[in-house]
Amino acid sequence: MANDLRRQSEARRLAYARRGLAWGSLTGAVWGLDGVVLGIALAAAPFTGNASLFIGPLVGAALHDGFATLWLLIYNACAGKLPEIYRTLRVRPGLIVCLAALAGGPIGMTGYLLGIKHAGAAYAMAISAIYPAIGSLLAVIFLKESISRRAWAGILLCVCGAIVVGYSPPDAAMYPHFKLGIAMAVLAALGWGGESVISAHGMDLIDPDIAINIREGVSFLSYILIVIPAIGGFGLMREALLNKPPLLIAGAGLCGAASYLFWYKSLNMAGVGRGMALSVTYVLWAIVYSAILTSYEITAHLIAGAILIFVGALLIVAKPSELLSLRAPEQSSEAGDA
Amino acid sequence: MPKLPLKMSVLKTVIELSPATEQVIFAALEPVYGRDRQFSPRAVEQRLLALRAVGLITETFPTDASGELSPAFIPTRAGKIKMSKYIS
Repeated sequence: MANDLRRQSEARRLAYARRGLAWGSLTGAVWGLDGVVLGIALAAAPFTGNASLFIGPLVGAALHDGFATLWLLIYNACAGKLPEIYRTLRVRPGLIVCLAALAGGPIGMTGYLLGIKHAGAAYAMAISAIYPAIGSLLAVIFLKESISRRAWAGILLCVCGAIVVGYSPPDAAMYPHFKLGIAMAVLAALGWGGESVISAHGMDLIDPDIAINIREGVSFLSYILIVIPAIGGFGLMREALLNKPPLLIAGAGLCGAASYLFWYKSLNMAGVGRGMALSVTYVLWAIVYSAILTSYEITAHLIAGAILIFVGALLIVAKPSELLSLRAPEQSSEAGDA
Repeated sequence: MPKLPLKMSVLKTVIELSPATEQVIFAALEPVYGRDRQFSPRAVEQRLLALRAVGLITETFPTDASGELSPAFIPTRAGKIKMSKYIS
């Protein structure tokens, strides 16, 4: 009888872990679409012309997070969860998620864009693509997360795949502040890796649906209050909102809201290491969407990178039973004194 | 006292009523969250699974009043530490 109950309990937990992996896989599929739609929006007026390499993407990122916040508010209102946002902001785990928002939003994204500006897209994308490995390492250290050797191999293959896809030979002469650019790309990887661990820590006690709404809202506010004034981007933002209806960015914001929601669910349900590595499959999906929606050329290194990511993702999802306990035994030890 | 987020309240209830079955936890939370549209037996079950996955609670199978085994939840040491850290 007790064994039957244990088996039932294990089956329920296994189904929960599988759902976490499914959310992680969906993250990549929707995030890939988000990137392609946002890319199309940023390639059109008013982001072209006078908008510099730096201001345009940051204004686009701010608007993207603003729309994502709005979509998530609508989602949480429909689910009857709006009061939870207020309750969550009053407790410390909610404030921890605010910190995660700063790490991933303005710090991660600004570092990434400065990396592209000063070191070129090839190095910035390749270096920032290591964020799942950084996040996994931080999760093992700070959250005592259990990651098997096979899952580590999968995470590293996903990272290598993302680097292979993003890399193309740069022209070093074009970048006089190359070292600064590399440092900024490393900052982006640390910001994004740090975000996942800090938010997962907060989500131990609060819901992912609420955490991501707060994350996007705080990120938007930090862009509006700090980043956009600092770069003088309000003019461009006004132009984007008034002169041309920002339907594409609103659409990208919808994709962003969905993909971030799925990502936070997978971080909470399947663990930081697996959630992050599965999110990197967005690179693979972005190739598919780009081939369909734009005139993107499929090259040999894109295919090689996609294969690495695909094999890595398979290694990660291969054995969901490993997810029955996400944390190491000393963290999740059965409470003897209970 | 202002309401806590539901997941925190589920952990608090497990600590206070340990060992507590899903039904007991739901009944204990219903007077506080009963008017929330999000509140349902499934919502409580999902939060219990989430807390279990990150090792803040675990399951036990004590005998109930009628002598039947029933699954119930107890906090882990990590769960108790985390709760005392975040709720004064």
